[in-house]
Amino acid sequence: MDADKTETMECQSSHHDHHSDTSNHQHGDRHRTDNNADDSEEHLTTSQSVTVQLYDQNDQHHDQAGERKSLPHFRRRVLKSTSFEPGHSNRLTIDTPLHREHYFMTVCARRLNRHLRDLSLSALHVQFSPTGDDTTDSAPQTEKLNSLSSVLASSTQSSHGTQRLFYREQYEQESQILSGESLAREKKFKSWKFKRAKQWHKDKQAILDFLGYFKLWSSALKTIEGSFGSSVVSYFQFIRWLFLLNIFIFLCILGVVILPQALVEPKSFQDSIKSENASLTANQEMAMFCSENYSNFVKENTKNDVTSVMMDVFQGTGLLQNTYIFLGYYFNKTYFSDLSESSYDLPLAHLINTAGYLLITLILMVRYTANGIREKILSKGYHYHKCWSLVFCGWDYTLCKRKAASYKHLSLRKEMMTVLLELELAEKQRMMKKRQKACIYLKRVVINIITVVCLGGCFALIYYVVEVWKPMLLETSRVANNDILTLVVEYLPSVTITVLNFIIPFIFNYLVIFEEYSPSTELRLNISRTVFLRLASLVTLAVTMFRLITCDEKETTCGSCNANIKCWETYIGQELYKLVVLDFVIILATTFLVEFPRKALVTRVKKLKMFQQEFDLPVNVLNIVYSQTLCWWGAFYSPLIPAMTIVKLFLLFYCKKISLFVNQTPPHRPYQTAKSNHFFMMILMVSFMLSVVALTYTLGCLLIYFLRAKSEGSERVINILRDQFALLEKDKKFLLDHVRQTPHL
Amino acid sequence: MGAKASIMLQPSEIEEIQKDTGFSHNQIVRLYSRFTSLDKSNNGYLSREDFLRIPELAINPLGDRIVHAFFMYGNEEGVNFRDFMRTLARFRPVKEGTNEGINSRDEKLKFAFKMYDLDGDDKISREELLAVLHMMVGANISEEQLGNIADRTIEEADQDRDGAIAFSEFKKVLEKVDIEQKMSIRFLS
Repeated sequence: MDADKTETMECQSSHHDHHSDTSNHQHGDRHRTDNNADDSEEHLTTSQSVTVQLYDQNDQHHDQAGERKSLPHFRRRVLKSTSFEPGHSNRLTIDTPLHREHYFMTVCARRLNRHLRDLSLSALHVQFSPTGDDTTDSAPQTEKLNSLSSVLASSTQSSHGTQRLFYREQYEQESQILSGESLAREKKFKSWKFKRAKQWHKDKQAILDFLGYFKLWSSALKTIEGSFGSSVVSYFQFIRWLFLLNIFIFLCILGVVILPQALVEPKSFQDSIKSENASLTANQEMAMFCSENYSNFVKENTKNDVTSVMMDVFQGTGLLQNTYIFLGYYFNKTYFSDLSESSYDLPLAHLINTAGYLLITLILMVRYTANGIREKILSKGYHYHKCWSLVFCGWDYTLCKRKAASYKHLSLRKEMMTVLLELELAEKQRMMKKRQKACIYLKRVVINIITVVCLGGCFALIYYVVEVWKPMLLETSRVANNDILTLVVEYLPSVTITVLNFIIPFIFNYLVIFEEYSPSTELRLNISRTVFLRLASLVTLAVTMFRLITCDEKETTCGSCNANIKCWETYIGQELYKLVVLDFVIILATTFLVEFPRKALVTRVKKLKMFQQEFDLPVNVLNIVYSQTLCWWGAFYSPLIPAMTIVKLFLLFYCKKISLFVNQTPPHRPYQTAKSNHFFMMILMVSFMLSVVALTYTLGCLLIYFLRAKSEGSERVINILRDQFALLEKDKKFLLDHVRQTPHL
Repeated sequence: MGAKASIMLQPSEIEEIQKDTGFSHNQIVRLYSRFTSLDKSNNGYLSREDFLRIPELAINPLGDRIVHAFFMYGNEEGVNFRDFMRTLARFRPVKEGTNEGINSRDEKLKFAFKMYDLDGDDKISREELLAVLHMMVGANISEEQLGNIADRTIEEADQDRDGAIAFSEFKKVLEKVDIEQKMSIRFLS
């Protein structure tokens, strides 16, 4: 039965010193199997059975205990259950075709371990002896046995194995201490306790592994880090953080605003203001009239043919106005049943929801920045321009590609040259005479003035486009009844802003050379000017829109100052919607229409080597911050904008990653990672504050009026304001005007 | 018994390593599996080739010196697991507030210092700095410029004006760098 070829291995080592030979069994050759664990399993055509022989090396325990334990069935294969007698070599025969064994042996080994552990056996030898035909070739057989043994060894050698071993050792040591009748009881309790502990460790490990799968994009980030270094990967980590944040915001909005609207829709506007039996107040009647007006207006202006639908999708007008996208669609209160007075107050819920998720966003950002602040406070000044930091801290240890290493060498070289340059500049400046110094200061002042003038020009341009030119052009296009022209004109403000955001930084970059600052100051100045430009253009847009929808006239029908803007929340929502769409289109266009051709050009034409593009970190970060600002601001007026931002960020990650690997080289300027993250967060917080201010402006006005009315004790105003709140979505403009007038009465 | 002396990790060994180095049980087991995966020839020792198979070390300008640090504890033919752990003990993640022996900030900085100080005289001289700079920057930069950088580094760090950077000066220069976080293994659990 036993074949001559046996492979013996120690399955689990005993706690005796393994150098001494305590076993008194025959083992055959005890040579180690020096095979690699990555033997591929070959299929053997013969079916052979394997005998697993179990020896207990350490007999003393069981002689003392004197028990007989039995190995339970292995359910999967045909096995003979044997009773395990201490002191003897016990044989467990497992009949299995060898060619199925790789998987099987792993399972078998695990079960073996479990059962043997329960029997508290401390040392075992597992011997494989193939039974069955000996007519097959010996060589593949030996190999097969080798791989089997290694599989068994590796599975028992797992970390869990050693851990279990560790616990069993403890158990045995402790059980040695106890004796007598309490032995059985104590043993049971201890074994249960250790089982719990083992289970807890396994569960904890499993949970952590499971959560590891949810770390979005972690493998992609690792490849980027290996090829491009830490500063580029921090940009992608930033995208990931914003992506998750937007998912959270969208879920909040979904749960609180969209779902109730979808599920419990009131039948008409009248139902949404009051419950079935109450009567309408004067204000409410007015509100109803105005909203009728509004929906008629929308219906009139909606055409149903294909081009109009397309136009409407891009402009957010017409058909889209009556969907979930814009705030104008949502009703006020949704009453749960016809008879009861209980209701789901949608406007209030929307407000509180907005406040809630903005607050949570703020807390998350502060937490993220907290680490960065600690580093910033501890490290005074930018010490990446100091020599010692280049020499001692310059290398990026996460790089693992040779190409990346050569880029890093280049980057270090550039940095060192920069440092030397700065030293020379400092030296020169010290040596400069008074006249030259004055000259330089004059130049700086002039350039600052030019910058301010530039910015002022931008803002004026935006103002004119929105306030003057757009309505004018809209009229002409309406007269001409040309849809394409309408589309272009609708997008005019957004296009203006985007074009300015694109061109002006180039001008800044060019001007700053004349100011003759050191490179680090230059960088800081550039970034702050660009940030200022972007945020300020958004502010201009906001102010212009505000001016459009408020006016000083005493009374206008239904409170709209402009015949074309019936519902101002929807109007703002539309503008922001257009900005978001355009932003997305621009990002895709830049990636595919600018970067890819540029790369193709640079590789083909050798002379244009200088145009080799590198990953421009600040610009990319500012783009993301800009889109996130739009998202925060727009989420109030158009609840689906966060969903659009989620899609945008997702696609952006992959677009940028592809473009990075195909087109670009790592940035030459080594941005310190911790500082970069901190820096991005600071910019994000500033834009966040901006959106919050924009949102709370109108509500703040209301609040002020409310407080003022309370203090004056004017009952009428309070009533009006209460109605005002109740009719948040539609046509509250006229109520606001009403309120403004009442103190004068 | 063969060369597979440390192929299986025994609990007594784990305990000893725990006492020696301060790693937790899980961490030791994890590092052990990393050790075995690096040990391609399966003989319980890591040779220099095994180390240099790690891509991050292979392209690192200081890679050879780092590998050399592992061989400091004696055996020239290979690093066994105990020595491996003893060298890695300096990279244990530091718990807040504690200042244990082998893992303190001082020890970490000492390890870094030894990377630069080749001749072991406890000073980083200008020549040693030049050697490091050569490795870090590669070609394309002139000797004179490298010399300027080396001089500038010594100027920034050197306080007693002896033209070389001693360990105390090295410590002072890096006092604002977050060594505890940067020179620690990031265990994911």
